[in-house]
Amino acid sequence: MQTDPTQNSNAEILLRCEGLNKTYTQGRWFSRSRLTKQVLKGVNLSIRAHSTLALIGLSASGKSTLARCLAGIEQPDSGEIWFEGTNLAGLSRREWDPFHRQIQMVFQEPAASLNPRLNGVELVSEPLLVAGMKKEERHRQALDLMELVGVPASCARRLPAELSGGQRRRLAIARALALAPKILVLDESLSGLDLSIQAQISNLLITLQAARHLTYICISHDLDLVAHLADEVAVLHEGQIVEVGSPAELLAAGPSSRPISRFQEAAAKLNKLQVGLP
Amino acid sequence: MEPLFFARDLTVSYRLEGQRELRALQGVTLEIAPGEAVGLLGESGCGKTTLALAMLNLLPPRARILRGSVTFRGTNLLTLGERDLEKIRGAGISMVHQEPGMALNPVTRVGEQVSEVLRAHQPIGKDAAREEARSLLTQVGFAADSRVWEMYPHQLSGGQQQRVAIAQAIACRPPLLIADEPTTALDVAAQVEIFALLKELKEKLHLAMLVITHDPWPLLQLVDRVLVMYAGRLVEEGPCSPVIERPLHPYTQGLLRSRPAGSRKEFLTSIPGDPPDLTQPLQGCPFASRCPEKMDVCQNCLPGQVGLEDSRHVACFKYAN
Repeated sequence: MQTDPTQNSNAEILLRCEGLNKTYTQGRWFSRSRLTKQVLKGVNLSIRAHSTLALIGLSASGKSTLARCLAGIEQPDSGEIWFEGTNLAGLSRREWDPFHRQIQMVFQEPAASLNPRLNGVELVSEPLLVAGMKKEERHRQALDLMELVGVPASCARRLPAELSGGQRRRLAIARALALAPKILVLDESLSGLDLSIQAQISNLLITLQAARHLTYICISHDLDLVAHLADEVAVLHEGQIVEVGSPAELLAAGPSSRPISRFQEAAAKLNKLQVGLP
Repeated sequence: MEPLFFARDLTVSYRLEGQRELRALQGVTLEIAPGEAVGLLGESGCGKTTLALAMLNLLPPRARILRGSVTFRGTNLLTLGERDLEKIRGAGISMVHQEPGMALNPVTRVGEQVSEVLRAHQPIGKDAAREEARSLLTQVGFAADSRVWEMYPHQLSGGQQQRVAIAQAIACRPPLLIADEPTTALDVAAQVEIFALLKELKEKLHLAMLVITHDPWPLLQLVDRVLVMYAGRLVEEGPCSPVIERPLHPYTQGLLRSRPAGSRKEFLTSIPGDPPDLTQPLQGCPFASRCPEKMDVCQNCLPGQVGLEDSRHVACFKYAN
C-alpha cells in the first residue's frame, strides 16, 4: 500500500519520494567477492506540510537509510525525491547545499553528533557561521534559539560533556533549527532518554512545530510515542513501505500477518497493563 | 528466611576533580530472597548502576564506600580479597550489562566465549565445557543446529548478542543475576524476547534477579518487588503491581505519568526541573524542588522510610503518621 499523491492536493505535499532504491556494498579484503544488501526497495512516500510522519520498523528495516536519503546525507541509487519542485535525488553535492538549510537532521545520540570541543553557544551558532553571519549576530541568535528550546543561558559556555542528556538533545534541536528549516528529520531523537526527559522533549517538539510551522519526519520504534506525536505512520519492513495510515487506523488491532502487528504485539506485551494506569 | 543477598545502609561517594565529592548512594538497604526478582527503577544518574557495581564489589577506584555492608550468603563482600571475590562474581552473582556489544569479546567466537566462562570457574575439561556451552546456548533460545557457535559477536543482532551474554551469565548457575538495563539498547521486539527469556530462566532455574531499568512497564510481568530510586536514595518500595498501578511517592507518580498514553499531541505531564546536584550537600527531601505537593517540612528535613500496609514503604512526609 502506498500513498497516492494525486489524492491530496499537491500544494500541501512538502516532500515526496518515489521508487527510492539503495544498496550497500561491502568489499572484503583480498577478495573480489562483494556482499551487497539492498536496504531500500522502491520506497514511495509523501509528507504533508506542517505534519508529523513517523517511520516505524524493526532494526535493520531501512529506517535510518531512508531518513538519511531524505536529508541528503546519503544518495539513493535510483528514484526521485521531490521537494518544492526540485528532484533532490539527481543533484550533485554542491547543488544540494541550499536544500540542507531546508531539511535538517537531528541524530539519536547528541553526544556523538555534537563536536565535543565546542561550547553550547558555538554549537548552535556554527550553522549561522556557515551561512556567513557576523559574530555578534550569530551569538545573539544562538542565545535566542537556546532560550526557545529551554537551555538556560548559564549553559552557553559549557561543553556537551558538561550538559545533561536532555540538555544535549535540546541543543541538537536548537542547532538543527538555526537555519530555519522546513523539515526536521528526527532519527530516534526521543529514544534512550529517561521518561520524564522524554516527555519534556516531546512537549518541546509539539510547541516548536506549532510556533515554527515545522514538518517532522520522526523515526522511532516506540509505538506509544508514535501514536502521541504522529499525524501519519509509515511502516517500513525489509526496505519497503508496507503500510501507511493514521496512528488510529494503523495501531488499532489488525490481522496478525501484517508486519505492523509484530510491533504491536511486542509493544502490547511491554505495555500490557498500561491502559487504565494513572 | 535468610536472605540470599543483603545490602545494608550502603553509602557510596565518588571523588571528583577539585576535592569535590559526589554522593551516589545514600543509605540504601536492599534485600533479595532466593528466587525473588526485584526491579530497580530510576532515571539516569540516580545511582542504579553504582548499586549494581557495589553489589559485586566492582566499584571503580575513585569510588569510596563510606558506610554499610554487602552480604551474600552470609559473607561480607566488602571485606573479601580480590581472589575470593572472583569466585563469587560469575558463579555466585553474575551480571548482564546494558550494551551486549561492549560486553562480548569482539575477536572470539561465541561458542568459545561461553565455554570460557565455564572453564574459568569449574574444573571442567574442554570437551565437557563445549557440551555444556552448547546446551546453554539452546537454553537461551538458539536452535540446537544454529551456526551461532562459530559466529563472532558482530554477526549477531543486538537481541542475539544479549542472549549470548545471558548464556554466559547463567553458565555457572549463579543464584543471583543482576541485569543492568538489559534491553535499553534493543528494539521493541527484541526487548520483549529478552524479558520473556529472563522470566523463563527465573522460573526454570529458580534464579534471583535484580532487574535495573528506567522503563517501568516491562517489570510488571517479570518482578515480584519494585524499588524506586531517586538521587541515590530509595524513595519507594513494595510489591510490583501495586507500586506501578498506585504509586505513592510524588516522584514515582510523576515518572509513571510521563509516558504518552494515546492522547494525541497533548502536553505530557513531565516532572519539571532536573534532579539535584549530588555534589552539593542536600538539605531536606531530594525531590522537594520538583515536587508538586511540597510542604514546609520537606525543605528542611529528610523524610525517612514509612512502612504502610501490603509491605509497602515510602520516603515521603505525606505518609508520615
